[in-house]
Amino acid sequence: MQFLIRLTLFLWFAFVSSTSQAQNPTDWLFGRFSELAKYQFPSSGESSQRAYRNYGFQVAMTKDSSKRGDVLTYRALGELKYGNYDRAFTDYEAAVKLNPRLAGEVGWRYLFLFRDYARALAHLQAFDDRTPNFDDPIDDYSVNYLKGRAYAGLGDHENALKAYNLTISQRATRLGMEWVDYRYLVARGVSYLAQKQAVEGLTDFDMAIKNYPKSVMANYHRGRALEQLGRTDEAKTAYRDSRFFLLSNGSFERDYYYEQPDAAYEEDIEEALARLK
Amino acid sequence: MCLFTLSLFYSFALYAQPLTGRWIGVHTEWDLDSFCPLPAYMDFNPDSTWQLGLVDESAAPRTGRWGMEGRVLRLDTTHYAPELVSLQGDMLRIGRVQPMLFRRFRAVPMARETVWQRLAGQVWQSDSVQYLIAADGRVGLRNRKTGAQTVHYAQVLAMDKSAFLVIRGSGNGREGNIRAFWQVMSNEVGVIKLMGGLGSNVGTETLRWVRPLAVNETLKPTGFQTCANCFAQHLANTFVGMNEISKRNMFTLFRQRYQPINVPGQSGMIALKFVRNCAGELGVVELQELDDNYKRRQFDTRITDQLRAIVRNELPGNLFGANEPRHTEMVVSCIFRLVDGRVTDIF
Repeated sequence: MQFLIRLTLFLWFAFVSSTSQAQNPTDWLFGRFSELAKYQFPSSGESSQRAYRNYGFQVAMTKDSSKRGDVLTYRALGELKYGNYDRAFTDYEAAVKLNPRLAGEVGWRYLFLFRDYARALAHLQAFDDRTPNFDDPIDDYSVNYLKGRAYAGLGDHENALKAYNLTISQRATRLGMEWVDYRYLVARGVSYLAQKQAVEGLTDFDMAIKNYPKSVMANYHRGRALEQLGRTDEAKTAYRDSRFFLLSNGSFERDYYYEQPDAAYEEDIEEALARLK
Repeated sequence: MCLFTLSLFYSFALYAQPLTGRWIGVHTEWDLDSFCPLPAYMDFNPDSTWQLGLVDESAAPRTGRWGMEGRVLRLDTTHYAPELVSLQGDMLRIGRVQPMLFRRFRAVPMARETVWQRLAGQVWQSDSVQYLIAADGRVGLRNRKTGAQTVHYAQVLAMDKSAFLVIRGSGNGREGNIRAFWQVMSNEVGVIKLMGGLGSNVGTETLRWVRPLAVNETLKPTGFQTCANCFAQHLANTFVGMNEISKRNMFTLFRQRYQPINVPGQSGMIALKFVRNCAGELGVVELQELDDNYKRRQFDTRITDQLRAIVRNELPGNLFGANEPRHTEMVVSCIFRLVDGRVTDIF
């Protein structure tokens, strides 16, 4: 929850920074006055030397080791924004030692922001082992989805599929298939394709499109599945749909901080269409 | 100790009376070592009206009401907790995250035309900087120690019968934010005294006349210069950068051009970062080189030189697509993962 608050604050700062050029300068300055009133602590919502120093002070002054760990993860996120990866890494590792509960959060940072799949998997597994047989949430993901991503990043699609199956089946049982995150279905479909199981992959992509019809990557990978099955005309249509959504959405699929690992890009789509001419 | 604490409390304590009057902006403290001049004024009027305006009057001022409720300052509808506002003598600091610093305004009557006539076409210097001021407003700021020069535009503004020297923009145009904002405190033959932000505080800068500016003296930057002068915040942040589609094109180019070297142990990660200014020029390429355990290391120069060369030689013409705003500055950053000299991932 605290991470989400900090993320929101950061996004607000980024928004203010990026839009400040277009505003009337007095209005912008007036807006700054309002912003200044919101933040009581020097570290709120920013990455800076001031924040780094203040977090260091907080760490030194906090007796509770688990809270010290929390503070270190805030500081690490600021350092990531700064591009100080060595300092971010040091803080994340120290945070997990102080508070093992943070292994999940740190695992997903390694996964998406560092693309360090082996280290991510170790942390995610440690987090998952704390509550076996339960698909714990980590921010807005589930631990098994993230584990699947880490396995897939390492090229181990067999284990990736096991992890995806677990999270997708639990969600489908609990909420119904229509409430399964389309990104999970695309991820599993991509691993099926890597295992040359195009039929299973196609089923996942169809379901993903049902849950989010405008997905560029779901349509693109559906095209790949159809191509593997020799259904060339349908594959072409899927690729064209993918291109249409890429152009109409204005971008490929990404989170604010990182690209979706299965994102489809313009050059991939054009290459696929050229291949099927 | 008790007396000290009391005196500290009273020096910070806010009351309506001391705030009444005009305050002039000094700077916004973006970070501990990064300050951006604040060419604004703020009026706390006794009738509880409040006005915030820009010294260059480029936009209409904002008005509202102000008041003190206990030790809480209220500006219009915004309430500042006591610890967010501090008053020390004639200095007013608002906020704790990227705070803004104001000083009490003292009018020093002076005609701006007279100040400009004295400055223009001349070379002046402070203890650390030489000001080469052309008659058309261009100004070169030359570091006296290193000789490094940046180019901007200067103008003298008037407010409350006082004169303000403003240096803004870059060699690429007058547009852009402020590099320096000074109130002219005295204007005598050979010596001009200015007041404004000096580091983290307020100070006086004394300009002494050096010589007339030679007619053929070139006012050009000696190196890469950003068009914006208050760019540190953006420079720092690697997540606010170029358009993602352009970034993909850049990755493709790196993959095509990078020639792998096969050297065991050349593994880890290289974070690359540079700035492109509004004129499309590329700044210094910074590399952060880390091993597999995120400890600083040095990679083989055949790798690092190659990455720098690709940026220098290949990117300028290929960097941005049609969808990219070309006249804004941006940070370009990416990470290379390497195994034994081969690039295994770029993101």
